[in-house]
Amino acid sequence: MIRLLKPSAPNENEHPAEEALFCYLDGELTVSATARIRAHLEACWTCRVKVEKIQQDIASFIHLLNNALVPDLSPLPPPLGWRGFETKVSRVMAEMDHPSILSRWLASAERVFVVSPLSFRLASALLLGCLIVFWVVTRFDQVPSVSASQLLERATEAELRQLGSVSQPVVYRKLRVQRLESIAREDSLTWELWSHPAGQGRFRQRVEDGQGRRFIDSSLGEHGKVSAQAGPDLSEQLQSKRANLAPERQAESSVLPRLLQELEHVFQANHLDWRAPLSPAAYAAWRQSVPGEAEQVIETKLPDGSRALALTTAVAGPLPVNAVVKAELVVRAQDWHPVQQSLRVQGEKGLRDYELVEIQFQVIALNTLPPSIFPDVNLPQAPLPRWPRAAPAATPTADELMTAEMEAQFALHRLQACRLDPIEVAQDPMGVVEVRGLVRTSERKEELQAALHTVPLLRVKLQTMEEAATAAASHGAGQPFSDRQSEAENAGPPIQEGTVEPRTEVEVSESPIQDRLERYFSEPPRVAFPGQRQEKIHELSNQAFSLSQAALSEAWALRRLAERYPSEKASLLRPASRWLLETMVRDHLTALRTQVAQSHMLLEPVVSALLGETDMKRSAAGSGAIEGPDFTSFRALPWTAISLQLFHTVESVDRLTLGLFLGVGLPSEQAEDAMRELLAGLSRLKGGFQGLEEEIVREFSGNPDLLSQQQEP
Amino acid sequence: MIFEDRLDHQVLSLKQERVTVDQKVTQLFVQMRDSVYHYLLVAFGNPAEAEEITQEAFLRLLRHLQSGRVVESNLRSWIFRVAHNLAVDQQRGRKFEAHLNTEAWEEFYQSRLDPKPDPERRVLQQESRKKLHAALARLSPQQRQCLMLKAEGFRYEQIAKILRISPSNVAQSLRRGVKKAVEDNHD
Repeated sequence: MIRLLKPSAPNENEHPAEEALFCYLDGELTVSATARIRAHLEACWTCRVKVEKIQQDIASFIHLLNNALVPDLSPLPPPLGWRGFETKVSRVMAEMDHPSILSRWLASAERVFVVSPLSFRLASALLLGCLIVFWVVTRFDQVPSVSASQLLERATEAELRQLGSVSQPVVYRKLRVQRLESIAREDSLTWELWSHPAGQGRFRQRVEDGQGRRFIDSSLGEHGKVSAQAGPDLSEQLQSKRANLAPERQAESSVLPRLLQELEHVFQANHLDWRAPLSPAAYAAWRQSVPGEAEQVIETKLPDGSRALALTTAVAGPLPVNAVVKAELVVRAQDWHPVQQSLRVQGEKGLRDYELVEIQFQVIALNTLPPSIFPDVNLPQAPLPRWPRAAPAATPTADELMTAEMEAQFALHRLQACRLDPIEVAQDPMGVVEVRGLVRTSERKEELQAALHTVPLLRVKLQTMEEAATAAASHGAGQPFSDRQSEAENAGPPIQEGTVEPRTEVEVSESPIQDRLERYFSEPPRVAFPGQRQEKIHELSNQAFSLSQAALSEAWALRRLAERYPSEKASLLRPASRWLLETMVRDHLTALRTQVAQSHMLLEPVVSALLGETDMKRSAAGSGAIEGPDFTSFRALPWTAISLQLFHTVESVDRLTLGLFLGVGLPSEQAEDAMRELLAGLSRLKGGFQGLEEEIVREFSGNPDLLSQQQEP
Repeated sequence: MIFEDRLDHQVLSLKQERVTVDQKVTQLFVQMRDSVYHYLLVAFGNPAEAEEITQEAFLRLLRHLQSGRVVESNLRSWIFRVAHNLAVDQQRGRKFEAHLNTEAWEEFYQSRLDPKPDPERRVLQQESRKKLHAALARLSPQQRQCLMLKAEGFRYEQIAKILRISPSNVAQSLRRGVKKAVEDNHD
């Protein structure tokens, strides 16, 4: 017994203190003290009665307690009857980056099937099977479950990446701003912003409401007077094309509409960035600065049916006027681009709700922006010559054509069409540069056309899938655009867009390393529970797959550049065009490098452990028997050759990843070799990047581009 | 005793029981929530907060386990300690002394009168609640806490750890507390 007290009962005849008796009854005394008191109690009537009294008091108290709290032996329920606990549990599980959808389903299924464990197991096996099928079918659309901070991080990264794809980027946003509870017309307007982050806070805004469309020259703009005959910008052209609108009245005003004034105060009061209203970085900073009460990320759908994630942050009150009580940021799942923000704000009388919905977003290079937007900008050494819109009278020279081609490539690159859309840029013998290919939607088509609009000597032949299908049907052709596609894709790998339907030509079966993965995830220090194990494997496979696909599309874009612009051709390019080529190559290299590094980080520990599980020795010997080059020997080759080799290696890594994690065309007896090859391939790629980097520096006059360097990890 | 298990044993047993951490925590919650709730209710006096804190304590356990840590001490002690600390923090945040929130208590009882149409029993129950309330109102917060924890079967040393006081303090609080609590009863 633990010795807690030293009761003052040195000899048997002295009465122990009441506290000592208490401790004695509770068994909290040392053995010798207990013996002494027991001996005393045997002898002493007074103390025996005292002890009885203590026992009685205790009994009365417990009686009192039980009568009140556990009447009729059923405990008194709390006010809400324990409601909401399971939801909270699920939320915690989701927060901890263990999307517990599966385990929740399993848990609720268990409750249903609790009568028979066998039927539960059967049911969960069936459910699991269905889930796997569902997951395979929908894996392209998969929205990974993320925490609030992960969501903001990824959105911020995506934004930085977009900014990085253009030199001197200007962010153009068009938003619909609305105050929700009011239905008055002036409480909803369209707000356009041009923000040039690198240009000493260069910022322009334009609103359109009941009083027409006008630029706002607030105190923020230090630039001089704006020409009232401002030329139409890209978005305008798009709009007027769409709706055949007559040229709109361009006016100026120095006063923001009331709604925006209100909102600007809110932004200021909460240290949000007025010039970047949907900025995830600003949201993250705000979120850090307030006492959070509750936060959640839920999956939702945008009006066009695409998936999105909504982050809601509630702030613990009480809050002053204009403070944000609750905020929501909706991020498109496909590319982590924020598309909507809602703010619930503490007003003087009650709460106010604002909603900002993005209608259009574009990152535009400063030098391609209509001069009317930032009249103070004297384009500093714009790398692109401004071409007259009228077609040149004489046949263009090869040099001019090449310059136009490169400009078109770059415009497509900026919109990531080089990775996402099967589009080809080629020169026609008639002296025109032709951009041809397929795009998914008419919006995408318009976006690309708008971006290509300023490029001279260009013929754009883009078709949407729908148009292509209609045309094919009218020709009665079985295989729509097979010729065009083969021409455009140059028999390369399938080029897929972010949300293209699954590659139906692959047959998916169970992963050949499923058992090993299960063992891997059941060993300490990893999660030890069957439901989570399955989830972990899904998560891993999913990530591996999407990283691999992303890397493949970057490598493919890189290969296309390498094939189209070999050194001898590139050396003839004008300096500005060479600069564009270098920027594109570097962008792809940077992206590819990041994706491969992520893949390596993700897969290396797992695959090494799986290999170690079976044979330490063979793995240690590091056969690395992947067919393909060792990049260290390629150092002296031109960047184009290295790019081709990189592509082949990325392709084989992709094949291995699909084989190992999705069970696509890989017999299980080859799994071990495949794992070894995968590891070897990934680490060799890392070496390849180094070589390519050096060659790019050498090829492009040793003038590394600052922007892409900053992006590199 | 079931709860004498150290938690690492419980984690190990998850494998055999084929349950996930969240399921296990939910199970424990169902087993222990009434004890924790009654402790908080009596010691801190606010039914709604007691319910919320009870849930939060188990969510803390979930996060703790989910992040790969184990509970070094007795699990039951751990839960009570976390719940106690949460309740203390909440009170500190509001800067009010730990006294019984009589209004909340009464309102709560009024809202959950025994549904059984037995007027006599109802009167008895109300009577016993009033008695307990009167008894608890005579105690200091520390005495209430000690008595409730003792009634939940904790040893002095465990109570001392949960409340961050010394074991002799526990003994003293118990002795005086019981006496005060029942002084009406014996008159």
